[in-house]
Amino acid sequence: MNIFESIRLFAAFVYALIPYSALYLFTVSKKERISGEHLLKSLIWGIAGFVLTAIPVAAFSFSYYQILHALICLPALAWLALRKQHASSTRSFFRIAPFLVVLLAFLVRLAPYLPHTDWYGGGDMRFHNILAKSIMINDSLPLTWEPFAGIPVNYPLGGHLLAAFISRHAMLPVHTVLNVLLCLYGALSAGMIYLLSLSLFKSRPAALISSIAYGFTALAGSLDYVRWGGMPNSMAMLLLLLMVRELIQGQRTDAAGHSGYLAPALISAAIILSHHYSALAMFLLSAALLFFTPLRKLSLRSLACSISGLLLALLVLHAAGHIPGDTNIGQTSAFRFYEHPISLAEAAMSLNLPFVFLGIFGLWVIIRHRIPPPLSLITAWVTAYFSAFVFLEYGYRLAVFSLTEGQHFFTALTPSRLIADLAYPLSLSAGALIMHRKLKHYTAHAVAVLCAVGLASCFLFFLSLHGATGIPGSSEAITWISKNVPPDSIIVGSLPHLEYRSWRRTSAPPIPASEARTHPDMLEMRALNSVQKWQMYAAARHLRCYFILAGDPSQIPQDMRIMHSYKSISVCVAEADQ
Amino acid sequence: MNKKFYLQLTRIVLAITLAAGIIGSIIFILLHDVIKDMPFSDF
Repeated sequence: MNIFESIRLFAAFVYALIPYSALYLFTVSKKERISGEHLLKSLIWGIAGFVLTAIPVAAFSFSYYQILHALICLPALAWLALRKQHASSTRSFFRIAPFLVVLLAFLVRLAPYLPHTDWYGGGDMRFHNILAKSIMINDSLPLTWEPFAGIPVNYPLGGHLLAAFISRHAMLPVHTVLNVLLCLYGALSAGMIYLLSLSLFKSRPAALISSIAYGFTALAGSLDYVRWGGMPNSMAMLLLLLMVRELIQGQRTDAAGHSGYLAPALISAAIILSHHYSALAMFLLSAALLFFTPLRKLSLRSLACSISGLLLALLVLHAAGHIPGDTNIGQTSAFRFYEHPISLAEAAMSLNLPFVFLGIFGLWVIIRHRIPPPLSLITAWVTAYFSAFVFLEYGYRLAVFSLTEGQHFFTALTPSRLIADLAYPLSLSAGALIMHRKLKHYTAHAVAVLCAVGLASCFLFFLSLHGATGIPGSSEAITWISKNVPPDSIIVGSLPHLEYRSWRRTSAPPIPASEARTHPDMLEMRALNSVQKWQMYAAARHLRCYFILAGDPSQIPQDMRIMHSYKSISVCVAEADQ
Repeated sequence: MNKKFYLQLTRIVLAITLAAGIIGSIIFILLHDVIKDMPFSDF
């Protein structure tokens, strides 16, 4: 991505958010100066507003939404241009520091992409790229995974829609936009954690420590998003941080209107429309507030807003005609997911050991020092995610193992996501470090040590990504397939991002756990275990059949003709004799 | 009093889940040979 492409991308991002960000800024009192903190919140409000408005319109026509967007942008821009801005009165290190953290956090996340000219994203980006491209190709929200699988799309599409919108206006490939947005959400989360920590601890140094802890020392749920491509998780957790902040603010002012109920309920709906797992994380948090904190009003308000958000999201999906009615939950992998088992030590290492130490030390300080009630929000948040992780990873898995007499070892609801989501409350608890009576006079030292830990963590993060360049020869094979394999073909085997780049059907499309992966059509393909069976399958559907085989080309069966081979010890494409 | 109760409850739940997590992790290690060939994947 060159400098002009970067400018286009950020201009399109701002354009996508402007009407909704302006709406938030409109609620800021005229006497108040619009600060950097307001701007940060307005960006996140912009994301929520875009998701809520764009989904029902784009479900019918993505192009119509673009016209509507242009129309609503005009009054927003006019209002922003005419609003009087008051001069700033205070400038201090702790006011500027959070914005430095956001900027640095963004650059650190972006850095791994820079050496690659062709970076399509890690892990889950395989299907996020497909969903966002589907929106652009269909000019509406896709209802099925066609052409890759004839099963309905259950995945919430808020984040993909925003990426498709930016991609069209910036005239950039959608995978570039998705990957840059992923970096941006991580950086904005660091800023939002600063604001949330500030409202809990009432201390700018504590807030800065929380922010640095999240931005530079947490791996899973922060820096590591870049590796596994959890764009919707990152985006929806950012919205959840804003929702919690609005709930706390509503609690302080005891407002019944904007901050009290309406704002968190709207954000809650945007979370549900952006990522289902984060919606689950939101409900877990609401339940935990009810059970583990003395904050009656806050917990009831949180639960009421979550439920209102759910109803609003269902209404939006209904208006969009996008409620997945055809999916049988038993056909998804939601409760039968063969995720790699994770021990507590591996979970701690995936979060980064120094970060876990910081977070747990902060928790201990909060519990030991008889903290003021608002901080029980942090302990409840950690307890909720950690208990749910232990139940799903160990309780559920071992129960399955025992009930199936050692035949199966699957889990439910992807427990590793809870570890990633734990990074958010643990970052907040890291801020409690300076509440310790022996440490509170050493704030500057604590920040310095944390920066050193952050530097080391970022270095480790770069190291972990080094060498993740994919299978040698796979990129050339995909380019060949895109040019030479006709669309009415089935490719047996797959390569990372093959489906997205070539838009050809494969035998192993990257379909997430929330989709009907055990639909009879999918199972039929899985049962085909020989070249002859694949040829019969393809012939019955009038498809041409291609195979991707890895390894030494001299070992390829003689009845298969090599069509393309590059660095052939790794990848080749062969066509079966018809 | 009220505040103390919730704090105590949080401590108990965290301690129980931590103990369960440690036991679960030890069982995973013991089962390593049984489960190592099982088909785990993200997709």
